[in-house]
Amino acid sequence: MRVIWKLFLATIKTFYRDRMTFFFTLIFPFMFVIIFGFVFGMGSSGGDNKLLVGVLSSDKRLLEVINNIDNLEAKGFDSIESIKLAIINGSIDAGAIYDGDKLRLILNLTTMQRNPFSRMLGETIADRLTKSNLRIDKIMDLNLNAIEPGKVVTTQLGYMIPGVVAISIFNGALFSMVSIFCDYKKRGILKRFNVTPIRGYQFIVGMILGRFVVTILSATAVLLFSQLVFKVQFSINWTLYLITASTSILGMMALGILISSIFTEPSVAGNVGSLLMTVMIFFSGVYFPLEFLPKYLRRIGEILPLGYIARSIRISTGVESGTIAFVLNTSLGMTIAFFTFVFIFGSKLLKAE
Amino acid sequence: MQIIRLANYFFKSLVREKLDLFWLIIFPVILFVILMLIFPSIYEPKDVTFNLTLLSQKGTFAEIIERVFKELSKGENRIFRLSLVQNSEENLKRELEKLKARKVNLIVEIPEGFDAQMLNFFMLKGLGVSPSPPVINVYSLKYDTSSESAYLIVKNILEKLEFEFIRKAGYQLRRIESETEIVGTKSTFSYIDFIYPGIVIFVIFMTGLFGIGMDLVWLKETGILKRISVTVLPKSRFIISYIISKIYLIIIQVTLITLMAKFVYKTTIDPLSLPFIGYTALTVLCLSSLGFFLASVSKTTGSANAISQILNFPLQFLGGIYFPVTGVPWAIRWIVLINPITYLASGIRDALGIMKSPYPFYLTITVPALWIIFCLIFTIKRFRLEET
Repeated sequence: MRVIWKLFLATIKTFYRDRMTFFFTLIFPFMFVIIFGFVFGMGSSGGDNKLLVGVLSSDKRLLEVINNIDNLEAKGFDSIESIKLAIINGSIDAGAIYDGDKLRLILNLTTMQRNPFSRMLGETIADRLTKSNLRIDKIMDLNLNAIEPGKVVTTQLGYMIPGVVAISIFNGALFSMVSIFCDYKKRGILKRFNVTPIRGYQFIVGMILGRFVVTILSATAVLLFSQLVFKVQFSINWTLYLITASTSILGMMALGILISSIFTEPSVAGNVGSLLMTVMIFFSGVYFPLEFLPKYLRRIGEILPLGYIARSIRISTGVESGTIAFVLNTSLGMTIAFFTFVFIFGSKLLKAE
Repeated sequence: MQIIRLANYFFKSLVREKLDLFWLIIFPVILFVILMLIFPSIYEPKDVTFNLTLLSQKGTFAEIIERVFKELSKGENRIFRLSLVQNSEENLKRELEKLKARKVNLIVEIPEGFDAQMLNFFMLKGLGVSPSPPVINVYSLKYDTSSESAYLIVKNILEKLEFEFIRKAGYQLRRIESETEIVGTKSTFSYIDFIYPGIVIFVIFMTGLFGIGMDLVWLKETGILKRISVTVLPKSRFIISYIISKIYLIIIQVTLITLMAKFVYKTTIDPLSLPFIGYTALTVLCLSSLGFFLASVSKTTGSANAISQILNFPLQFLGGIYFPVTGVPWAIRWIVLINPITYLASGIRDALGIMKSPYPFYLTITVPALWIIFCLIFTIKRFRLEET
């Protein structure tokens, strides 16, 4: 037990000394929260969904019509050129010009990437304008009830953060196994352990426990730090969160062990891990919506574990509703993967020494 | 001659490093493919079908709405997968659960007495009174792009349907047409034209940061630089050969990306046009200088790796390589504004007529030029200091 404890402490110390693992586990996910949160999450008005539309100040009727449309806010400008310039600079999301015959909606790409169907707004404004000619604002009033997906009222960023925590878990767990089973092996550390009285299982348990604690602490730090900095609300079910985070770490460690057993060269294994991380970032639905991708690409997203981990953490933090069964099934899958891979490849990796 | 021989030697040693080759040549191609798979679908969604629940009522107007949605749910190119349900509290509750579970993208609820309210509305309108319109409830899911998009489509359909009701009520109307203009871009926006110069900048950035920065630190750390300095080889020749070897690499990278962009994704950009070549050359100068700067401030490959990773992602993503970065809050806008990639990407796209630059032409040249001057002066001073 003492041996395991000593190894456990040593692992924690080495984690904080290893700049790359530290960067990819803590700094990297947080950096992405900031970048994607601001670029994809907010419009020029700073809110979540409201679009700021530039209109010629002289066109009072258009100003009024736009202000009467949900989620749109009109802003007056002196000329069409100044509207276009403001769109290019990003100070407004779109522009609308009515020449008495046609309505021209001017959009920028940022608005389109935030909402792929925003180009339909032109028709909406034109239709409202047509009706205003008859002194009818609307015949049917659409009362939009935007339902919170979870238990708490959160923001776009708040919804994204649990996904970032999932990425932190992925990075921390996977790269730590690559580091133990490839890097330590290459540097002869495993060989040195083999000639000591330490048994194989003690080594594996001590190392894995150390990395496990470090990863869970880092992931939770990302969650709480984001909550503090961005003032987003979570309703964390700590039991569920700890089950999800712990089993996800085990599952991602299993993936790390698998990679380490296939690619024995540490740099190759590390690079395979990085490549896998790139694919996961794009196709797991954490940062980019998958709904508009072709079916076969969505299928890829469905088989990637990161999407399941992200959803389980969203459920545990109350930003998405879902059954406890989903969380527990994901956790069970991760745990089974861990034990299977450790028993098959863990001993193989040590025996090879 | 000696310079070329040495450059060839440097290039051969780089080619022998399979991992470097992967990250500097193969990875950008993989990333290019991934971006082309994801972003065109975001900008121009195709073949998307939404799950829509219509909680309906009996009545003439309600049935017209029902018929329209049924029409839009037929055939291969249908917009909706429609589920028609009788409106009741119990059914609404059940459908809301489905919405939260993402089995349904949007719920449209026609409330009780909708027909009577509609008739009442037109009757009062005819009398010159402005009555409040009948309400249709729509339930969408927050932060769900499908749900938000489905709402926009339904809203648009119902707006059009209103014209039918207006005509039926005997009003004469002339509909105002609309057209959309994507500001600062060609009339037909193409993501490949947008991303191709971005990927070219990306590969040069990777070469600058990792191919030059990291590589030089490694040469420094292993003592190779010191050994070279005691040979008869003049330093200037060494540096020129080293830069030429990296230019070989950049030519291979850019050619590969260009061939893919031209023949696989059919970009309309002419890679031999003067603006493209000019900005690419400026990018090579600027981002290579950044690599030299990195090499001068890092003592070990470990610290160089950490610095380059910290610089890599914010400069890449906030430089507008993959998507436009405008209208962001000041918390990150300052990174956008000091980032040389921002000006290189904007300048090259503007010069090629792909997208109007938010910055004046002179800034797209002077900011990268200032970076080049700063990085080179700093590097020379630092290396001189290390020698003494």
